[in-house]
Amino acid sequence: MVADGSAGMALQLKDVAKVYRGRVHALRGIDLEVGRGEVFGLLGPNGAGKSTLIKILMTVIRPTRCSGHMLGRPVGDKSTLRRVGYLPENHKFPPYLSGRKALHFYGAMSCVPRNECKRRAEQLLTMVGMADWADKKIGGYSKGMRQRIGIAQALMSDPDLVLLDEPTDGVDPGGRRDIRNMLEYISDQGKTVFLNSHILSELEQVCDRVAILVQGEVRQQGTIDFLTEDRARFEIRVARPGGQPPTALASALEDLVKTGEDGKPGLADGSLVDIEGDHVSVLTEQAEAVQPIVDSIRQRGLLLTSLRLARPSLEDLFMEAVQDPTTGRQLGPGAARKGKTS
Amino acid sequence: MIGQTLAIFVDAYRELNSKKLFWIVMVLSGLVVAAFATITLTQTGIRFVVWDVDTEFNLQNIPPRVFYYNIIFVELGVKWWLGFAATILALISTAGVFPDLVSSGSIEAMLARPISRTRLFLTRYVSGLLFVVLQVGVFCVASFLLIGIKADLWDPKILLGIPIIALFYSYLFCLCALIGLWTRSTIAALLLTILFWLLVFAVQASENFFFIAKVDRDLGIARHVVAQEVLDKQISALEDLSEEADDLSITDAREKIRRIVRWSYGDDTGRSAKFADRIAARVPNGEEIETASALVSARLEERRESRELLQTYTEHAETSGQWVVRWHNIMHGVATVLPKTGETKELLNRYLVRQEDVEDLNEGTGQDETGGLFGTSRPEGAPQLPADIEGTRQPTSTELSVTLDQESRDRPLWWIVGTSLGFEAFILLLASVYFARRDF
Repeated sequence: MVADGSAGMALQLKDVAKVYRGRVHALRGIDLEVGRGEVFGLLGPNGAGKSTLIKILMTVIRPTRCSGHMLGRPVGDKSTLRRVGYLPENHKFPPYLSGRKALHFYGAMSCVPRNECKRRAEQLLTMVGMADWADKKIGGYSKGMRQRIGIAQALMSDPDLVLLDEPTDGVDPGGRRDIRNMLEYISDQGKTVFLNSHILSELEQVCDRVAILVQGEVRQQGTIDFLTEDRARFEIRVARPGGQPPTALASALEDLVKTGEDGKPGLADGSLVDIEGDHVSVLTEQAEAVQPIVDSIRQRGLLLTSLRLARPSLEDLFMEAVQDPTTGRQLGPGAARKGKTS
Repeated sequence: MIGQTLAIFVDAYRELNSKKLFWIVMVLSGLVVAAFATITLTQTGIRFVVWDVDTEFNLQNIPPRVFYYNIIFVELGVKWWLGFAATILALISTAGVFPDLVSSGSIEAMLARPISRTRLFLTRYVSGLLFVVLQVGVFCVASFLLIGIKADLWDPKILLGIPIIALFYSYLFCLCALIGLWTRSTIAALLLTILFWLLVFAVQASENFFFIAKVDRDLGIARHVVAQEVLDKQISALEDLSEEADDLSITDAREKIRRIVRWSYGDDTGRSAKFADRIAARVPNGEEIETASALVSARLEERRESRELLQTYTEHAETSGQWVVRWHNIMHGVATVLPKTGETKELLNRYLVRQEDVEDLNEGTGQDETGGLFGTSRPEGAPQLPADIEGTRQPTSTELSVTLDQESRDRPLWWIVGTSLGFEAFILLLASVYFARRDF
């Protein structure tokens, strides 16, 4: 019975850290929560620590510090792994086994009874579209086929939580779509999915919530709507007929845009404004807020060529997260070293 | 829990089954047994299929039990085929078990299961021995049937070869597992294990060499001690005789001296009788002895001198052979902490071949004196002892062989298997702790 306050949470992590040889800080104190039934995406650049985090959860790596629970039991508890499915990144399943026998083997390793193993294997082989290839040796499979068998083996114990590390890595677009459909199917069955990927469009399509991991730290986490909520903006573009000067747009908005207390330009309602040549961006979702700008543009005789409400994509969030706030440069790949913080 | 263990064993079998080398070794084992089936003893040597090979030894003296169990099964089949050639092939086949297990992409799927790392490691280790158990099992059963049909010897103890060879192989495989885990390299695991095996062989050969020298020395000293006791008895009896010598004729005195010598050797035939006659009849310094008391005194004096001389021989043998004992102790100490690969295989001889068979086999094969493997016990410049003193003689090859066989059989099982298993347990402990604590 769960008596730790983690009821309702599939995963609740606090201060998960991993330091290699006292120097390389692969994880620098991760706090993360994943609700039951959620599809959660962990994204980050190569070497950010995504796989390390999953491996800690699966007891493949021993954490330097870790307090938290997985399915109501402390992280690292082996018995919990009966209820957890895992697809490792760049897995190598025994090439001498057929797909079916591999499922039987991994099912047995997850303590699934023999008859149940057989029943589940047939069901999953059909689900992942490998029924026709089930008796062929894995050594002869394509990368996409191996990923399908990998997903099937992760589901052999009918787990409550499924951790998938780069499930679409090396898979063609058709295969990716199939894997997305599988994820939706798994999610529909009420299972929690923890997805690890650096392919942002994939996460955007299937995840309820995401976290962005950079150099061993969670930079942002929440639903995609929540993360993009305050970043919606109106993008306005104009043309300058009659040889008007390049500063015509800035001049037209002179009376509307004032420098705020923080030294940044904005409207009277506080919406930040960024003017660059013939393009102005207003950080607001309110259409009313941009009407005076449109009026000024027209009065000055500029030609309004486009006006759209733009929401940032996951990629924008990602790029923002991996940018060094002081230098504006993109942070390098890899784990942080001692004494170096981002 | 049982399901997991079973799954690991079934997987290990499937892995073996997928390897060509496994089946090649199996076929070769079959061919070795088939080759044994074609060997027959003849009047002058052995017949191999239809070809007669004459030998200088009289093989007809060899008891069938010794020929089939000792020579054919243990020496050729077990020591050369299973214990050497097949072992190298088995190491080649199984050296990759742990590097493959811990290779990136493979280990994650295994560790992420509800099974402790220690249990996973130990189960995988034991399942890795499956290769040898299956190979040896087939070989031993085939040999059991062959020897039974051919020589009507049906001894199920031949099947002890399965656990004994599996045990011998496990001494090497545990190290192979540790190196495989540590380096993640099949080649490193294979080469370093073979290197270790050579080291163990060298240590065992050295220990054996010094052991033979020590046994030879001890046999020599034991002979000296026996001779001293004989001389002590002779001296004591001659002292008694000297008190009544005045009342004896010289003929009676000779007869009494002859009896004393025979009594002192503890038997009344052969060498002792011959010596008795010679001692009784001997004339010291070419002088004619006319009285019984002079004869007894002369013999007593001579025996006392010999006793003193023998004492110096014994002391010299003990002192000069000290380095053999010291080196044997050192090598024995080193061998104690290492696995006994050779002696474990020799256990089969202990259980299959009776000691009396070996004694029969050795009878009359080497009556030459060994000559003292590290020199004689005669101190430099010391005079020769009279030929009748048994202690001057070095042990013969036969005596040495029989004693060595006896000593080898007397080596306690705990020393051979217990210390080897201790080594294996220590290596497995290191490997399992390393496996349990390592990040993958």
